[in-house]
Amino acid sequence: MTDLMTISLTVNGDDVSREVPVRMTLADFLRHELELTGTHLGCEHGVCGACTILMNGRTARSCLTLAVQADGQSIETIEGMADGDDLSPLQQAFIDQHGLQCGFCTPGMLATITELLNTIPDPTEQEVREWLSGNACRCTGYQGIVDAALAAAKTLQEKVS
Amino acid sequence: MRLENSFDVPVAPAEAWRILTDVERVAPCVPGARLTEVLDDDAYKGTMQVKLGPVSLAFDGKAQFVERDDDAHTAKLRANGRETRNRGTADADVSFALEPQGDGTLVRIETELQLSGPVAQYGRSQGVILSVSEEMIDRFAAALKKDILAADSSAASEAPATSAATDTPPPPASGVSIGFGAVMRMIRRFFAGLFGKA
Amino acid sequence: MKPPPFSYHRPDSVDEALGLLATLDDPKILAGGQSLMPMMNFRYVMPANLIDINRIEDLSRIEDAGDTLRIGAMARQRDLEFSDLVKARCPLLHAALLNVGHVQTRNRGTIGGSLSHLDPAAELPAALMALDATMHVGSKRGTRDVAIADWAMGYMTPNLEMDEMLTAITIPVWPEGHGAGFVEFARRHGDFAMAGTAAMLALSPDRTIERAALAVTGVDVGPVRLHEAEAMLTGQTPSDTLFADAAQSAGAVPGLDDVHASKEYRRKLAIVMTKRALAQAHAQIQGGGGDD
Repeated sequence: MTDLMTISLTVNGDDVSREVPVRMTLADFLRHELELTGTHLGCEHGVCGACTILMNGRTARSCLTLAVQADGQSIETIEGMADGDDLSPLQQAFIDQHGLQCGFCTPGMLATITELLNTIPDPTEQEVREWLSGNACRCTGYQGIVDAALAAAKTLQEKVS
Repeated sequence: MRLENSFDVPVAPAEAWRILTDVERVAPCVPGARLTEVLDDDAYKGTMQVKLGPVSLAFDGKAQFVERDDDAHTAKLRANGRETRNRGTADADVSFALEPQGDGTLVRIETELQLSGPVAQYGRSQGVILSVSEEMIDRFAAALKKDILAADSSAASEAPATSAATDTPPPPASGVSIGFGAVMRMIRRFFAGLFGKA
Repeated sequence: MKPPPFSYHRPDSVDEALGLLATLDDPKILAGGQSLMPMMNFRYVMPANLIDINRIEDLSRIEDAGDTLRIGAMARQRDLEFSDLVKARCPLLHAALLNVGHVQTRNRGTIGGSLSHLDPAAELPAALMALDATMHVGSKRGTRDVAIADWAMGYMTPNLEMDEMLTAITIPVWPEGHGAGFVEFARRHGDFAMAGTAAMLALSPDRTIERAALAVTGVDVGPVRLHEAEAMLTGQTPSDTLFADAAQSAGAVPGLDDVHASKEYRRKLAIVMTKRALAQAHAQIQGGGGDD
């Protein structure tokens, strides 16, 4: 029973169309079909946050989303965050603030903070921690990540003004 | 996991014993169970379907009387089952004893249940298993009273002694579970293993 | 950790979805997927047919119906959390939502999904229990209403036949100026609660308690309403002592035993959570309504 379905969606601004097994998760679609392996799989049951991407501007667990559900939707992954060789302010902040070590959780963290800053441009530290509670990190102890989020918020606000 | 359960039947111990040890006859009263083969030596093969919330499990296995005292009305049953979709195994040692209670009999069941594999890991399953198993016992007892004891005795009506707003046990057995239409009961404890069939 | 094979259906309307539910073999509804997909990834649940209702627009409305709010089953938890209407008219729902999973799961998760999945530790069923909500259920055979008190049939088993689907929820709105609190205890924020309490208080003009509603989650197969505590509170003047006394009756909840907590521990937690939720509800009245 390997039912197939053709889906068409936008990934990081590019239109893609593929025939996929209906049971394929969005995470596996991104990683195997599109070879965008920046989206990582940590638990495959929605608790670690490593697979977090943005769908229509909102974060979602790609391990809990079927690829067929992304049909007609717009997906943003880590691969779409930089502008060529220019890192986004958020990515740069992660480097400056030591927000990553092994990097496994980082794409998920960046997706979450992207939505955070789009929703609350000037978050408090408490709000940052609250938002990040769905993304686990084994390396950093989170402080660098929180600092990066706050620094990026500041940078983006300065850019606006 | 240790489970203790009991239910009563409105017939004397000797009669209750006769019925309960007639495995082929009582197997249909066990919700979700199907007896497939009677082996020699007081052993039986069968299947058992159980629903733990949204999870439907199907076990395939064997049950065997390892001890049996027809005078004292006590017995011990060992049951082993494998989940047919590779989600683990269940092993149960079930001891049961009958004692007179008024004009009827109290059936006491003690089960040592061991689960392995995904069925054991399934979330916070212990509490669930306890409640689902008690519900199964209630349904078994109700079916027993309705289908077997009522048919046996010439007196027709039986008000099941255990608090029952339940009274319409579903058609016993063959698969599918504790569905809604059947039981309104809120759950407490206990499980009687794979009582004589699985 | 990958879901097993299934046939996928994506109806565009409620009617189509109900038709599929009635005719397909072993169907399962896919709403937000935040509870179902993990179970499918673990292969605990292996439906033959998956009915994805995410494209049905009719199901996600949040409507102000005067004394009630009518919420479509597919209303995303995140949309409810951010809804000014919900925050103003039903602060308990808002407070409960802040405890549901994480931002990412609330983006996809739905209120109908949470009610239909009916995890014993879920927050929304407890909130709806305190609110005396009504579930609207549909099937090809018609519609019926189920009071929240009759919703939980057993472990993760709501009052739904195989061919039925929850379509909407009606919530009676409490008068303006009432207060709500939702407090739960979990090892980490976002984990399954070991126990949690939803509380609402409304005061009379003389500032005694006109009405109280309390429901506990995590201590039984479905949310447990604390009628005794509510009776103790009604007509009394709010105080910490009153709340502590009323909360004691929460210790009579059944409790659940598992690897995370014992029955006894859950009962103790229920008492503490109840006390804190009452305090939170009271603080909201004093802080927000200007009654003080």
